[in-house]
Amino acid sequence: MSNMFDANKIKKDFPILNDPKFNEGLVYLDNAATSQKPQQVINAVSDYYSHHNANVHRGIYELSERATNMYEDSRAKVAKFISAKHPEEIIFTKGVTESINRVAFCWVIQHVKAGDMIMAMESDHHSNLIPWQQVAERTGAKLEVLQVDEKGEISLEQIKQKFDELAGKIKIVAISHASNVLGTIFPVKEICKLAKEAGAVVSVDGAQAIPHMKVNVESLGCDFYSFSGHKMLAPTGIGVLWERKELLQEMIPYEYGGGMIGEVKTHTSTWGEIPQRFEAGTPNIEGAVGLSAAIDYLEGIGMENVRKHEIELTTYALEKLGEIEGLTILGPQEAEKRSGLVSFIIKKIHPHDIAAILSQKGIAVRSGQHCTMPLHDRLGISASVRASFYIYNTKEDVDKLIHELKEAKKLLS
Amino acid sequence: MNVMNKQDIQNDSLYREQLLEIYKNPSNRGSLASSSVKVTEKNAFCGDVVTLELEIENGVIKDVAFDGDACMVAIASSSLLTEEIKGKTVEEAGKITKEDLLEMLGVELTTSRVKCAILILEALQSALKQL
Repeated sequence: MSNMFDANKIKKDFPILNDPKFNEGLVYLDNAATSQKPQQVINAVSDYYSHHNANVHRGIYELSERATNMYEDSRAKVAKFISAKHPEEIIFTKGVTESINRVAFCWVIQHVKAGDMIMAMESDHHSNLIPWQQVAERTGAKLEVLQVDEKGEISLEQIKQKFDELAGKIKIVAISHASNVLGTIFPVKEICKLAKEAGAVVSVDGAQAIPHMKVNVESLGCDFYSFSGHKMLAPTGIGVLWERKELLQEMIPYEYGGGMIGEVKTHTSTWGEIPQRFEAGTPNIEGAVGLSAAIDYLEGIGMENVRKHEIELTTYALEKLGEIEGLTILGPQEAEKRSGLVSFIIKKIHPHDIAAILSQKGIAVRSGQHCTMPLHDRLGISASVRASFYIYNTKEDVDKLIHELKEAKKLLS
Repeated sequence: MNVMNKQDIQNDSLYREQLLEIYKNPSNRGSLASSSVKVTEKNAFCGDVVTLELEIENGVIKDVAFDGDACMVAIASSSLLTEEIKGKTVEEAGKITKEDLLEMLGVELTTSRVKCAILILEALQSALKQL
């Protein structure tokens, strides 16, 4: 449907966006926080509970096998969606925060020692910064941060320089694929190449990339890739950690209990196969089923069409926002360098007030620090407003945003 | 959710004329030449920052100033609270509760905005503790 992309048609699939009782006139522009869910995903979850619910990997009765198959089919679908070589490289988590914490505490902490370096990004979401602070604190390794330049980008020269300065010491590079505030898409492939040459592994936070563009973990060349389902049309509480199979063998379990064991004796136990070893307890089966339906939905549209639509919308938004006097856009000025979000500040008006006034007009945007305090400190601002787009947003949504921003400015200044 | 027009927004309790006026011309905004105590409070949730200074003489708040990078609710609330405590004893000021302050504002606030409103009260309470 490459020439048939129609956001208005897509919008019809999302009940919450067509809900005159609770959400009349809703313009939802907080997709970087969470996306809305299409009827197809809601139906998949409902269908699972109505017809197929049983615990997985347990019963030998037909219903349990069916539930197990649905859960494992989802794993295989996720693997294919991100071009992973093996389904068992997919570990289901509750979201990207858990995924990154697993990388930090089930692999990295066993592989770094005092004096080693962990390279992270100052501009990143706290979930891709605090785990690394903790690993550094507990191991005596040092945390080295990459900083964005005035355009909101990270130059490869800066990274090369760091690798040269700290030759042999950097053991892990923890980056995000796209910034949740600046929107910047970072050069992950090139960073992975540099890291590999320096003997470091790379963990990528894909939370803001995977809903918006085709991701191929093999061609990126990273070692760990994390993302959440709920930002890509799936339910909350389901996320993914992909890791290279060779590294999985060295990973220790995150939780201990049922479903993850080989053999249990009174005082000792052995662990089961990969990936069950990493999924103790009853997993989020409905979440996996919902994620599978979300992938079907996105693939029905085509990730390249999703990307194209968001570039169009972002280009339009950047142009229109740029016309508002006193408004400063954070991050790169070119839509091609961004995922589909735009953060900004307006001189002398606090982001909270902007978001509150927009809310009264039915427009949902985010205000605050978006879990990136160090980035806001670096930029010298206390907070910002973020409008983030997805497949059901239209130019009319952007027009409404622009119109109401101008009205808010009149009211408050 | 009801979509409001501009008139509705101005009539709506939160962005009504009185609060906007206070926000645009707040009392006691700035800093003191000399102060007995100075406290900065930050709302980690949204990034609002307010600084409160008190000049105390013989147990009485003789002068007060606040400043900060904050939203309308936090600024209006700071203006109202600083007006309220000026001239009061430390003991009287210490008795002001969250409910008292919300009553001074006289508007219905959502949970997230209550945090904005009471940031200045938190600053006052921590300032009084430091005396």
